[in-house]
Amino acid sequence: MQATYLPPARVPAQWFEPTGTSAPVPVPFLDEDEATMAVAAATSVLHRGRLAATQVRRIAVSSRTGTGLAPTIAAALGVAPERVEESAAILFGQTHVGTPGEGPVLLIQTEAPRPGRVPSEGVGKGAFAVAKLSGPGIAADGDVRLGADPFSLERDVVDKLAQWERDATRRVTMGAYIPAATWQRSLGARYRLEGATCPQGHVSYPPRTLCPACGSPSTSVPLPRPGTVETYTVVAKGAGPSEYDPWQSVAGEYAVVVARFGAARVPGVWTDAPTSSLRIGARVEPVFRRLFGQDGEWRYGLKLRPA
Amino acid sequence: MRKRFRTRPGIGPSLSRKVALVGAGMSVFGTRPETPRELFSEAFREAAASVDRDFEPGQIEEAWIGSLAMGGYQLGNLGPFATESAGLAGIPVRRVENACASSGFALRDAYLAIRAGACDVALVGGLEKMNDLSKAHQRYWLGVSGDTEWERMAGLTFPGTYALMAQRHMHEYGTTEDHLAAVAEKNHANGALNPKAQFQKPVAREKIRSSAYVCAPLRLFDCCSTTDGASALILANEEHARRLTDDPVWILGSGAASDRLAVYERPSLTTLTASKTAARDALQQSGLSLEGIDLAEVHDCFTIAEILALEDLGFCAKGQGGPFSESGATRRDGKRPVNPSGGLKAKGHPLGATGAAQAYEVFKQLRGQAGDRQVAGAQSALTHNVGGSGASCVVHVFGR
Repeated sequence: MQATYLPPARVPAQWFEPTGTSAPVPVPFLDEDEATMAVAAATSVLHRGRLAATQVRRIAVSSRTGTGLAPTIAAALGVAPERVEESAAILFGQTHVGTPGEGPVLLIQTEAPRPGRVPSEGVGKGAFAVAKLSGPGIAADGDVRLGADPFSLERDVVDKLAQWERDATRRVTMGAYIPAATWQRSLGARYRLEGATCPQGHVSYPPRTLCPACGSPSTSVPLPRPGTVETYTVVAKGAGPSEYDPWQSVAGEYAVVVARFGAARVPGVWTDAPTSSLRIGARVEPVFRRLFGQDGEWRYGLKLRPA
Repeated sequence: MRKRFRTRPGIGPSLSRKVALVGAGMSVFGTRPETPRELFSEAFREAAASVDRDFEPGQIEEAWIGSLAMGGYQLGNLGPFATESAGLAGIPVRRVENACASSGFALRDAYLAIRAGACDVALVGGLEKMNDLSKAHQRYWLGVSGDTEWERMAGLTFPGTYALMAQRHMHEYGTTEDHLAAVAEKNHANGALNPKAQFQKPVAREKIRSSAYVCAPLRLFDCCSTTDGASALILANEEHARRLTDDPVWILGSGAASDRLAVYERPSLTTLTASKTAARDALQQSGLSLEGIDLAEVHDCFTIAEILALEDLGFCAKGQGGPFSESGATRRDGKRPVNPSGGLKAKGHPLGATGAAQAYEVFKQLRGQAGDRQVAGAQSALTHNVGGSGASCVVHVFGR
């Protein structure tokens, strides 16, 4: 079976436009530095398969940005650069994997490992290793020739990815519970940084129908940008809310920032920069990101990054 | 016609009825193998036995039980769950819930009911069993007493919320990690003398300073623990108090307040306004000034929380809580003894049981029964019990 690679232009950069949104909202499907996560995923797959870098025939990675991942992975793993390819999505059998809608995928084709040495979680002899960048490595069934039963390979890979997606969004059994319907009704604040203001000029975030300061009726208003960091904390692995566990298991420690946007403060997870670069007074902007999974679906919202 | 009472101290009609603590008990705090029912029985037995004379449980007319329902173990009807364990099935009871200030508010509610003449002898209890819960369950349950939808969902549990305040306090006032460590060191030193404390040994400054960050700048030893425990207080009006004991501990003032749920929505990130208001009202009602208070049990769920409390209660100027702690003023033998019990930090913090356990410490201290940790000559005391990150707060002033 062939794995072919789609050029980045084939997949739109924006795929999600919530109802009533005045402007399209770009949705990067995964937070955090793609290169770090791709290297971690590839390393993990090779390690668990007890595979040397010299046994790697080819690595395909689907990337959100479409730039720069391949050389980083090649250098980090010690694989020849020409063996690492990068694209927006990977056509695997008859199915696209790693599209922006479902998240990037790392596909590693290796020399056949010895019997019993399955590259990853193991559903067969293991010639391909597929790792979801935001999750655990996933091994695909099949052998090096891939001729015997290509459909089982495709089915296994696709099913495994779908299974990961289901697990990741349902794994949080003890998350604080905000029902999906409630979440959906507050997308203005969650996606577009809308607060509310009352006739007395009080501003609140999140927006309320009655002003929390004086009780007057309030109307929605976009908060001015950029914001300024007023305080922050770096949350150690395991010290965050359980709904962030699956993400934290990959990303490690993270920071939460409280930033002032005009007359209101907004809390958010710090992203796109190391926690060590945080300073009170730094300017920040909101960025739309996937936050965590709950009830079998992803919850999106704003994180904060350097302006 | 139904009687109406204005309950805010200093505003309503003067209610002359005095209210006293006549008995107090608490279970040993820690990781306990017993069931919650057994823990509450343990606390109640001690409270009943501590009443000097002529007392039998049947004299208790009504009960208020503070709890966060033990992570859902007994979410509904926890009041009857507790009172039946004390052999008190039959009396009216309800659960009072204001996060970590639950039994502090239970105490206030019972106090107000007695003042209002609605009952003569009442039971206040607190109950929590935390250590049997899975880690994931704990982090669920312990992170939903702030603003759940916006603050917690932005990646914060309580260490994180208090860390935000600590970071800002350091920025505005130059507070240091050493100042925080001074609080932990002092409270662990006090806890070492408390036979009911969860942690009964002193902890060296270096160990505190080198412990791992939980939510920077807060380290492991800046945070209180998870604790199993129960507490029980017996309250009576003046007539019954004089019948039951020659040594009542009078509740001289009760103040309470609330604030915005989320820390980030409050005007200041470094002041718990509810603490200031509650303390002002309680002191005003008591007729005492802060200088007249011999010891305080304050809500030190995190070291920064004690520093905030010192400032918000008025023991030192705003921003000076760190140096004030470092100076030794809050030690048991200092000029302002704070948390002689070890506080939440060393004694342990079984959420719903904490407020009444603070009053237990005061009961022991003011009657001169606090053993090795006795504050010499203590005649008056203050308890300060905070719910969540300051959304609710209740302060009581006690005297002989």
